[in-house]
Amino acid sequence: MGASSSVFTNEELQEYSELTFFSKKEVIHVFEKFVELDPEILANRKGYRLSMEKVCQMPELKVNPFSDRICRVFSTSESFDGSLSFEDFLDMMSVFSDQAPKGLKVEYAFKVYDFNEDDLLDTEDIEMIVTRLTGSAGALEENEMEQLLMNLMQEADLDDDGQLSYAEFEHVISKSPDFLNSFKIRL
Amino acid sequence: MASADEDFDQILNSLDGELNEYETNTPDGYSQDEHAYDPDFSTYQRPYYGPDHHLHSNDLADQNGANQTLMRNRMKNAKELYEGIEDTMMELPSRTLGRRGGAHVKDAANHFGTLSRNTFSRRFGRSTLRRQRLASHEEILRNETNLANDIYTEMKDSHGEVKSEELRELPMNMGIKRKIKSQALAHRQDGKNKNVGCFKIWKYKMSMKWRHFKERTKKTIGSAKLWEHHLKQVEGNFGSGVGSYFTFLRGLFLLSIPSFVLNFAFITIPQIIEPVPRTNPDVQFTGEEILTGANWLTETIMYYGYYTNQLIQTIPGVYYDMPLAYLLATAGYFLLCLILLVKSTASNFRQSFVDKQEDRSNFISKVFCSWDFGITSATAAKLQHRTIKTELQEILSERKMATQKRSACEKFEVYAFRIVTWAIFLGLTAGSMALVYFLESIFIEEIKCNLSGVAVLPEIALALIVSTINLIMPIIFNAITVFEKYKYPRHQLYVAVFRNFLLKMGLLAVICAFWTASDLIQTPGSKNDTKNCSQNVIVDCWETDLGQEAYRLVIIDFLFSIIFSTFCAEFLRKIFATYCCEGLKQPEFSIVNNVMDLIYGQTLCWIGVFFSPLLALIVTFKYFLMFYIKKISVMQNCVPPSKRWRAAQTRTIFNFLLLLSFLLSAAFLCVVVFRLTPSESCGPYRGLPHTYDVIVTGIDDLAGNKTTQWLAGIITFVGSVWFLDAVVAGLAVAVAINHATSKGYRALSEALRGQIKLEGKDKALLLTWLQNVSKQANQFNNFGGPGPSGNINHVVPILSRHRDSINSAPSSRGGSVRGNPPQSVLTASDVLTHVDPHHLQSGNLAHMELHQADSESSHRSVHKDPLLRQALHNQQQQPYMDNPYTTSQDPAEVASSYEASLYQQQNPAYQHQHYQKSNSASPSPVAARRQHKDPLYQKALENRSQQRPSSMFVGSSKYAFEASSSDSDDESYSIPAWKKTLQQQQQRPSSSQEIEMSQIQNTRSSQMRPQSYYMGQSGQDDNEMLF
Repeated sequence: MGASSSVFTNEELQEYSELTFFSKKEVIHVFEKFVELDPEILANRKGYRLSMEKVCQMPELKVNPFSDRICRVFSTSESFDGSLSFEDFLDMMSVFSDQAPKGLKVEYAFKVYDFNEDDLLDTEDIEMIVTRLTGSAGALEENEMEQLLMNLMQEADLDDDGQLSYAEFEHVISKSPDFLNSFKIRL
Repeated sequence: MASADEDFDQILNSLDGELNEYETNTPDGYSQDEHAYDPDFSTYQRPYYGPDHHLHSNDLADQNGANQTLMRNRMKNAKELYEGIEDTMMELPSRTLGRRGGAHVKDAANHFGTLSRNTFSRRFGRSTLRRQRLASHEEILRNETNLANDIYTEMKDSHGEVKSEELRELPMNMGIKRKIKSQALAHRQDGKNKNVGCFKIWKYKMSMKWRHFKERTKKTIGSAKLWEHHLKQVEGNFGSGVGSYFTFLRGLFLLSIPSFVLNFAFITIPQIIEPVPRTNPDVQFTGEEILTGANWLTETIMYYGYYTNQLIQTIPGVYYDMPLAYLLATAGYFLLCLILLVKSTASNFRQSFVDKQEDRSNFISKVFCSWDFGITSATAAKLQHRTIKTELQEILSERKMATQKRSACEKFEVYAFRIVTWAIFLGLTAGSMALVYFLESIFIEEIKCNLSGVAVLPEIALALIVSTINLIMPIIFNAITVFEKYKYPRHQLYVAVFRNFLLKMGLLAVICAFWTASDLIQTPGSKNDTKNCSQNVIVDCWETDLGQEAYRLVIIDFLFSIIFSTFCAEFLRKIFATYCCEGLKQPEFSIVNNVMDLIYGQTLCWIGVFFSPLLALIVTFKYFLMFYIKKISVMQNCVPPSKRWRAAQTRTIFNFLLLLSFLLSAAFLCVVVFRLTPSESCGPYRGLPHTYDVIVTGIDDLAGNKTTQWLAGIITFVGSVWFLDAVVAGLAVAVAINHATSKGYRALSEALRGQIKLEGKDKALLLTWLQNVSKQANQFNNFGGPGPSGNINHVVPILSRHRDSINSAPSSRGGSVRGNPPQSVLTASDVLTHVDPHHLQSGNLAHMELHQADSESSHRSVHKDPLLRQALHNQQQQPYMDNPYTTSQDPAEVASSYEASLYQQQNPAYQHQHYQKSNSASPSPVAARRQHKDPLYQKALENRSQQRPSSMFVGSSKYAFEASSSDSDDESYSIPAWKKTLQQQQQRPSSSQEIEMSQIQNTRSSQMRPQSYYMGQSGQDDNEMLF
């Protein structure tokens, strides 16, 4: 604690606490987590970026099929390599925290699931999601996938255009109470 | 062709004259900025011209002033045009098909809008967010500062200030948030110099302080969560389903703490300070009391019977009214429980049952919400992959099955079976209840008449039996539910849970009924005498007895849950499964059974807490131990559940059951307090006819004292029938109103959903139109012949060639066109891919949002491509019209119309048309032909045009031709046919006027904006060729 609390001034902590859903203590806790991933950070201080590979070593992300997407979404790296600075990491943990409101979580979930970053969840994206979800258990068969896509679109695609816009996504997610439970990483 | 050329020159000359006239008639020239003369587009801020567009427009403004005058003239009609467009919009499917409910929806949506404007405005910055979403990730990073500025302005506009909680909820990275914050701070410092009243400053400061305080407490509470680390561990390994059991347990633990504190502070401690001498000092503590709760413990602070009915007066002059305190502490705790439970159940309901069609959101939650982001262990992850796959396959096959309906015979079979299983269930429950009642009456005799002997077994026998029933029956119930063939496993689960709950409540009801039955509540001695009990030393105090029973039940239940459901079901099974029996499955944590046990235990606590104030302490302690024992057992023995647990919905069910059991126990206590006579020889209420009389006397005391008379008056008034009646009536009205409102909203949401569907169809239709346009372009390429559809790319060079020839034609007014003529490759797929991403969102649910930013960004991305831009306009027009909140005009419209007019001026073909129209008022051949072809259509158009003053179209009529030709998909027309039509029209001048109007309608229906030029480009090309 001593080492990490000396990294931040009180004002910085205050600001972090204001801009996230964490208290100062929790911000320090997040920092400790961040340092755990790569102990060299302490020497490099705050400006250091953690590469995507290293961030994905975090236990939750290690098993998460969308870890690379999460990193990319939260990364502010100029070279778009998905590396996270501490602030990005803090952002990420804040969004995944219990206190974050549903709307914010949905917003980021949409970004995470939007693989081709065209601001639409098209069939391509959804296929990718399903393939990643089934992961090690093997992908669904083609006709199953087709049926799934059809059913899914029937449920979610309100305007019948064959893709989910953010509004549609938000709408259907609001009807799935499981979302808040699943889109959560405890500190 | 020669005659055509002559015509052409003629037209040009006459147009020249016309334009000169315009020039001389307009007083304020056109040296102004082109944005300035825009009376109707007051909200319009900044059209997006590409750099070169800007240049041209300035140049051309100097050279071709007439163009601008024309345009300006047209702009004056902009408002009318808009209205016209709205009418044309009625042609879209969403308007025509949904017309029945259309108006209603619109009104309702407006109403809804005003109602929930607050909610919507709370989601400030939507348009900027939208833009941010539209912009690529890279763009965001590059434009951080701009973005921050925009968001700041937007937030400020919507609220007047930037609140930190809103800042926190922005889906932006830290850098942007920080920039916004620093802007807000800077602004705040600016504002400090202003003169503000003292009161305002004070108010502001107070609200700031309050907000900070709220935030701090929120964060402190949020961060001080108990057992967070353990929960994380469990959830990481077993998913949120098992985690929800532990959260439930934690909730109960936290709930029992206030009970313990209240009881201890207000009931127990005062009694400890002034102990009452025991009536039977010989009884020694032997150790078995811990299990039985009887004997020595009977006369301790543990039970109701020990408490005094006297005023406690340790400090002279200060009285402590024990009976009143006893009742109020319990009542206070129950009130607290009620508030907390109702609150949590309500919020759970809100989250889980937002929509009635929950079954429909099956696939959604399976795909988008099935990955538990919290899990950390590799095995759990692997299992989750497998589970998700099986579940997806299951629901797919389920979906198939659902379409196959059960035959009547099968249905009969299922229902018959269900009746049987319900009969079995009811029989078993009734049997166990009867058994408990019977046994209890046997055991009580045994206990009461054999006091001196060591009778541990009879004392705990009942508790043992109840716990055994509780252990075995649910297993049987689960087993029979499997055979009932419920369509969804979830329903099966609910039925099993419900039966389990009924059984438990039934057993408790029997016990309560037994102890409160009137034949037991008698004066001491009278009953036991008839039963031939030789000794009757114990004071007959049924409250204490009931308290003891509750104590025993709690203790035995705790032991059972540790021994059987934890040790045997989990530990031993694990041992067997690992070392002995290969066939035995590794144990899974049974969430349902464990949660039901918790609910049962908590109900016991609520029932018993009045009779045994310290039961709260025991229960608190029990929960504490349970948490660790269960956690260790789960982590060591269990494997992750093979079925994914729908935590949210089951949690709602459990919460609801908990609330229900609470209400039942509260009802029981109400009966005890208001109806039953307390024992005459023990407890704080001895000698009173009813427990609540202590309150009555308390009020009387207050009334007797002059200083507190008013308080007594208030209490009497609040307790009076009149007041309660009024409250109930008020509540009933509120419920009725809420119900009606919710019904209305449901209908509205239904209607809006239909509207969205129709708007989707609009888009499809518009896209078809677009495709038609491009197809037509293709046809022109083939000089009117049916072109090879699908190969459109090569249209473009030809189009541009035409354009070049137009530009370089000597008769072309104003020399060559300097702008970039539309060079775009308009293919259907191109249009689709470009239009879709930006546009399709706007018609969706979010059609209540403002899409200015949306359109802006799409303009930006296609600004080099006027054709496409026009297409986008047409598309975007539609949601705009629908949007009840849209107040903005499309910013790019001005730009495009401006360009359009430029082209119109420069294009001889256009002028020709203009000339023709303005002179002969003849319709376009295509439109006319089309009208002939489609009488229904024509009629509809005429109808509409009659409703409108024709003057409205002065400005727009000239553009009708180009558009209507583009609208046409018929390629085989020829001059004779056209001339013929023309003659026909000229013979009927009055109707031709109408038809012209309808042409305009045509124009609009295809383009939404009459001033659009580009879509009609191909039509002009065609015309030129004809001439």
